[in-house]
Amino acid sequence: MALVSFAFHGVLARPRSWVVGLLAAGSAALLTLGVALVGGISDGTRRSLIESGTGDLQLYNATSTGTPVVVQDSGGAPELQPIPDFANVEARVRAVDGVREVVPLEVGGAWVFRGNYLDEKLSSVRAVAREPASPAREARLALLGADLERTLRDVVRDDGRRAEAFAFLKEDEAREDRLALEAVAEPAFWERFRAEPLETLEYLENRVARQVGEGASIDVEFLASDLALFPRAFPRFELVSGSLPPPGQRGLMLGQGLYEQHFKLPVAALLDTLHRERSRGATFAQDESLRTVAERCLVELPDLLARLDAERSQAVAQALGTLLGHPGEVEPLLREFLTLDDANFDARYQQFQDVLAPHLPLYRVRPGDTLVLMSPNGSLGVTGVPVRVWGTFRFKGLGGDLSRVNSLGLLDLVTARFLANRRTQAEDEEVRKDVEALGLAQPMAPTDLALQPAAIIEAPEPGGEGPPGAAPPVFARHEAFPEHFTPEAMRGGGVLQAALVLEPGADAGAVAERIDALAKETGAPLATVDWSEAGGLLAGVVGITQVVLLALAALMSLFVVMVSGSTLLLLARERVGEVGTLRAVGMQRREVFAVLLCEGLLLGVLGAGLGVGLGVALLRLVAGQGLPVRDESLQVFMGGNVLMPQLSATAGVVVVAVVGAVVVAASLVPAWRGSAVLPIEAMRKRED
Amino acid sequence: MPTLFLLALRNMFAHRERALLLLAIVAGASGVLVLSVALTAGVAASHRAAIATFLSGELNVGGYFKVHPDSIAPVMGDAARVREVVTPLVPDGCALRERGRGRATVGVGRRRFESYLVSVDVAGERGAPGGFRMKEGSLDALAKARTVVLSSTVAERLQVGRGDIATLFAQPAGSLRRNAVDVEVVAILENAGLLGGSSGILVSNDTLRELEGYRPGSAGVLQLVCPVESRPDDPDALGGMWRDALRTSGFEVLPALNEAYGDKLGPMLREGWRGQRLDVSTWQDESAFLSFVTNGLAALSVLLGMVVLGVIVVGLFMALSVAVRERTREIGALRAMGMQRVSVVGLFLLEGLLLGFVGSMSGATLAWALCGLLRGHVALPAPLVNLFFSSTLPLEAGPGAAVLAVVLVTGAAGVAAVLPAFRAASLSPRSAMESL
Repeated sequence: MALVSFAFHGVLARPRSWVVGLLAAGSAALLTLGVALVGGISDGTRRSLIESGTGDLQLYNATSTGTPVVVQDSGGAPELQPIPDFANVEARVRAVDGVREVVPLEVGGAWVFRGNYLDEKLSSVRAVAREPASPAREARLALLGADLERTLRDVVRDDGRRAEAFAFLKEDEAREDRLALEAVAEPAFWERFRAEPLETLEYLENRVARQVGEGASIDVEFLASDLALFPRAFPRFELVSGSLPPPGQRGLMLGQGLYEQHFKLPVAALLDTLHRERSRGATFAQDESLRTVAERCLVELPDLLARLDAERSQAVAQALGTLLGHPGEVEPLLREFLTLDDANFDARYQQFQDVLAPHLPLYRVRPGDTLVLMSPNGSLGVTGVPVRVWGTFRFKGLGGDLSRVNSLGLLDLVTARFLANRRTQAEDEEVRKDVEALGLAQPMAPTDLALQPAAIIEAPEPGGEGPPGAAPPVFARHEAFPEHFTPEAMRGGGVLQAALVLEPGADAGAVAERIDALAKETGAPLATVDWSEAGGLLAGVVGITQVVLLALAALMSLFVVMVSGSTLLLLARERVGEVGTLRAVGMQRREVFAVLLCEGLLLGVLGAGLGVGLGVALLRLVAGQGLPVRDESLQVFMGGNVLMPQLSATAGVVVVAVVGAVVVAASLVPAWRGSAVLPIEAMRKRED
Repeated sequence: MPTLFLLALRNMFAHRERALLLLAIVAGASGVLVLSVALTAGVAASHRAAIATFLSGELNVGGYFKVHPDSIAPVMGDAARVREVVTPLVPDGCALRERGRGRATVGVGRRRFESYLVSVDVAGERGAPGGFRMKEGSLDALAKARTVVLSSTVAERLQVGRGDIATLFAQPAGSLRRNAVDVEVVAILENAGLLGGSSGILVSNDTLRELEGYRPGSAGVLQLVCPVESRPDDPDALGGMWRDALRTSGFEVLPALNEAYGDKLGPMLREGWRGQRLDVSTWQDESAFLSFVTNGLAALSVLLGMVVLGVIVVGLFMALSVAVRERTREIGALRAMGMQRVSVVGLFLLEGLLLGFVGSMSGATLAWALCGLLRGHVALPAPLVNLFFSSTLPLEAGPGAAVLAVVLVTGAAGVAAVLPAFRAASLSPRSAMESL
């Protein structure tokens, strides 16, 4: 105790040694800030992931070669084996202490085509052609028909240039395509159109529209799940428009971000971007990027015009004439309207929403429409699975519409299985029975050889199979991708992974151990990974921030050791006289060493404590309400639009301990040197 | 001045221990600076090398062809005419290399890997600068029809080796048509980081034409390749000349845009024009999607530099302040012997600068030597290999980095010495003597 009090007095008596304490305080304050920010990012990312479908743990089949991820990287989905007898596993895992929900999941990617400009024109003509006959219908049909004829002449003209870059792959295919275009160029074709609009439309859709291209493809990264269970398990889920698909029916929900960015009319989406940037204080005068976006509006204009049918185009021209105060053609009017600057933007944006939007096809897909999701299938080519869009959703408080979690699609498990070309357990069982019945003892053919045509196929009538040699079986028409499914088909389709949502406060590690025990006990091949592994690339970013913080802390410690070491060494030298006196009055060298070391400890711990206090005060002052994060793409790392720095008491203690230890380490050599003074030497020095 | 210099040197000798310690700190700081700059430069260099190999020449003329507004193909139908226009504008020592662009999926069994595809003119690439590095096999094997070279990333994912047969599917942007060609894997590329995953398929120009149905005589892009010494100083200006020349010869040329070709396809697919357009881009444009790595590293270097310099200023300031106190007697004696205040300031400043200079010189030299020693010998973990495009730690310490470190650190040492120097000068001879 006497040593400590000696040390205390020693420190008090030498204000110059306080710089070491100050250095400790400074580095502790910096470390506190760093730890709190990295803690905030790590916690934010964890929350974003856990609450948007990853869950606390991911359950998967332990015999899989890959481990489940929810955030995919460029290499595609990992290879997972289905969890055998999922319905049973689900019940058992749900009974494990600490588990609140077991949500079957499948992660995947598909794409949809935006469609070409002919598609939209054809569909509006078709809508009119289907109306009951009336003079009004005839007039509209004539108007739209003339517009269609003009458009198709362009198509034929464009196709004439194909040979500038392409040689046809197969002559037959080429001949058929060319004949179709030649037919469309004939006046006789348009006479037929007026007589039989629906038939000619079908011809155009089948033979011409496919030649014109499919437009941009939109990637839809999706989570597939039990759509009744998902919103219950993840309370941040919020329906924005439409409804959830009724139980037993296939369906797709689009993330609001995905919907706004990719399914909205490009010009409207660009105007939204401009509006958002301007509300953050950007101006056309100062930001080149804003001007680029505004120019892009004009570049996208021909696409918008190509997709307007004659009626809409007239309506838009009329509305624009009123807004701009002079009549004219639709293109120059729109060009004038979309020439934007700081003075006119706000008014134009409002006018666009109020006056023009009702006349425009603002969204390419609306709840109730059907989209064809495309995915590569096991054999050559792609599978297209039609699925109905039921609505849009977002995850509340996990960043705005640009955040990654709000740019996902949410799908039912059955559609996901169709897209992945995987058979259900029942189907596998049936195949196995057939194989046995036919007496083929060979191992079963691998599932990827099963081709699933994307059209009407024929299947034997259940129960209609007679004994061999009897009358041929009766076949019934059968949809390749039925709209409805049974609960067994959903769970029995080979669920690849499941998110476990835990009770609040449950320890994920402990639950994982309990599941391992369950797997051992029942012999089911179950394994789990936590969010940081399932988070893939996103969780990797958190890892990188932690490594950077650690590297900076290590570097800083090194310098603290060197600088405070050199300072203490100088101080120790000044104290030769004092130490000599102490030694002369009988203090042991060991004790002197302990006193000097104690001084270092005092300086380090007090300084670090002060620093942590300073850091905490600074955090309270600057970031008490959290740091607002404007960039929406970063919000997913913050778990919302504010970054809440996270500092636990343990982290504070660890910072104090580490900085204290660093300063003690720095005072080792000075203390050793300082204590290595012979009393006689010290006395002599005093004399000269 | 020489007297002051001698005095300062002697002082350092007299207080060897302290001087050595401070020198070590300063040397460490400048070493860290040199290493971080070397890492940034090394990563930038390995990026540039990888980009030059896979994606881009110093300048590129690429083609985009739209038969209909809702389709697009990255191709120019008549490459010979474009070559005619551009050839007179090729700088001495450089050459044009013909490549093809596309996107394809390789399939083997059940496994699939989608990636950008690069097609090469096998004879033209032989011995040219910026060649592909192979793990197995050679690029020449591509001369055979229907062959493919895969990056090690793709080969590992698909679990294929040389001699295996894979299927190449191409789905031209904006179309439902899929073309497929069965190809033989004839070589595997060395690990190329992210590019190995994103541009991991190599075929010959003829195979690409067959796959995509392009006409004979078409090409994706003409790339200007130059040996290091004859690289154009200002690719943007040369690009402007190319653009003008192409426009004069009747081609439609797209305006300059700082984006890689793959990122331009999506937006262009929505543009309403038809027919052939050309796009002139520099290697910086084509690597724009990678700049986040080098920018991040540069920002990290700046941050590191600021921390290091801050620590030097604070550390030296404290050490020198203590030294001034300790040497009060000596200063008093000097002043009493008639040394002017200015000279005292000069003496202490000189000491600080000397410490900074000698320390940073030795630190920078050591770090430089270390860079040379470590270069190519430190294996990196997989995620860093992906970002740095190099399987070993890429360090490229130029003399510029060393000079920068020396200047910055010496400057910081000088700044740290100012206050203690003035404090020393402010001591009166008497008070200094009295402190005895």
